[in-house]
Amino acid sequence: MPFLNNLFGNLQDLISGWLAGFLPPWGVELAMMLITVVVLLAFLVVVVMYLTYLERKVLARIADRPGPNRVGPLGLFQPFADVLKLILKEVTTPQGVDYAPYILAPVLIVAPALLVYAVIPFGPRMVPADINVALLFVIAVSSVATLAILMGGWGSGNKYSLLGGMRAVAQMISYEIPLAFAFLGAVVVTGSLSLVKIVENQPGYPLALSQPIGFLIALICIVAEANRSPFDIPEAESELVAGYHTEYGAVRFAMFFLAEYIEMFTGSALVALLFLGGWRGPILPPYIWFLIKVYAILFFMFWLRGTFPRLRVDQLMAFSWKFLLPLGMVNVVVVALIDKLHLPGGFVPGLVAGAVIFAVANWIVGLRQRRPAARPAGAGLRVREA
Amino acid sequence: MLGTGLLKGLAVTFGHFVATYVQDLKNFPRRYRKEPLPGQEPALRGFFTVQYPEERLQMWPRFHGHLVQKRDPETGDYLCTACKSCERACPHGVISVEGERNPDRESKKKMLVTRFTWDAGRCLYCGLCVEACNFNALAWGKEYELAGYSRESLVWDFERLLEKREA
Repeated sequence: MPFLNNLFGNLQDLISGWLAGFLPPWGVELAMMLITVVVLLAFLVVVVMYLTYLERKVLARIADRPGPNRVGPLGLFQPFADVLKLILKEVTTPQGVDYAPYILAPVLIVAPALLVYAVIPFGPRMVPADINVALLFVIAVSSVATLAILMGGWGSGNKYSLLGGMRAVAQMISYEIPLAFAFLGAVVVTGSLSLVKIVENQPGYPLALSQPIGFLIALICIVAEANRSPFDIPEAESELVAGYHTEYGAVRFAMFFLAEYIEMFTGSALVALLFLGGWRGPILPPYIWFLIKVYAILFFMFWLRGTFPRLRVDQLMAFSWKFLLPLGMVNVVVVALIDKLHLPGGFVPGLVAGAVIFAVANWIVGLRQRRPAARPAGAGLRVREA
Repeated sequence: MLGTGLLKGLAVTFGHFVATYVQDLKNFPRRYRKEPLPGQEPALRGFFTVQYPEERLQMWPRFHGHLVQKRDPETGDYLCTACKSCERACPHGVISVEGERNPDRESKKKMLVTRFTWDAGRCLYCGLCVEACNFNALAWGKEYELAGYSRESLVWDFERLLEKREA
């Protein structure tokens, strides 16, 4: 069991020990880096392939359908068929594209999505680079995706693409701010920006219990950051054909697709690390616990997609700036206060504070909603009684 | 309260998500439903998908699948008398009938069919021919996988119409 618990660390020791037999120290270092990168990339690609399968299955079950079940047993080879199709398709370039941004966008969107994994720990020793500003690095690097989407939208020379790109920029900038505020709560309590330290410094319970508001905000924002339904305004298929990737096909489209699913995985991993205790958990090895938590959040994202219709653009912006952002600010202040006061009772004070914040938010939103009913009865349209 | 509607929606979809798996467990080893499914009553829980080549819907009583030349249930003779009522009734001229006088003077049947064709490719499936038939010799069948590789293959002759069953 101890061997399994630290399986990847042990493998690393084994391989580097074997390499040290015939390579100089810098050679070992270089080889280990390459191995890590290759393993991580292979893992991510497979994860993305099967995320599409999982998503289609979950959505299908929600809609009382069986989902993919023709290619292989239970449809398990469906992802391979999809990937093969995307790779083998002819790559076409539409007339009138702005060539440089058009070609660069698919590359630029995948690169930061993958770069983030340099600092995301899958277990105690399972992190390529444990830098002390990892969270800042993740937020900064993942913002580059916004630029890539705008490049794709602009470069396509298509009004729908451009609209999709513009919407993506507006949305991703709007939702990054509440997301950062939500993460700040976890940083305040753990006192570090290193993702490894954040997990190690957490108290014995997941922070979702002591910071329910922060957890909810983060959960909503990662869905919006990955441009997923119900926040899929940049690619709203009923309005914008496919949004910023309308003019992309074959491998170039596959890049956008890959990036979207990797971003989903990244967002889920961050929430799992910050609010659900990362890899910590009883009995099972740490990396298994981590993946369970990540997949639970991914399932939640699919579940949201299967349940809710898309938000309108103004609703989307209003929800972020008028609701999530103030809530996030209040949350940070309250969380910091509770942390400073060293109240007894574990997560209970945090939970109570969260409930109070939620009740107040509920009351304020209720005030806004009640206003039209105050019109005198019989004047103009009759207002339906609440 | 904020988000009550959202939670309700999530509960509904999760209910459906679970129900399909519960239904799967109930009929565990079986993957496809054997009997034709009654089209009018979709399953209330679990999948309503008809997994087509393996599963089929039962066709409803008035389904217009293809024409059938009926036979006398006792003698097995065809009922058609080559009277050409159907040919005249057809708005598209899809049916053509040719007959000759029966050489057997004793027989009850005065006319024999020498040629009867129905062009399924141009048929409206309106059923006027079936209504026009004075001898109740035409009827609709319920088969529906009748595609062919050429226009000619969609023209049914008398033998093919006789082979099919009215169902």
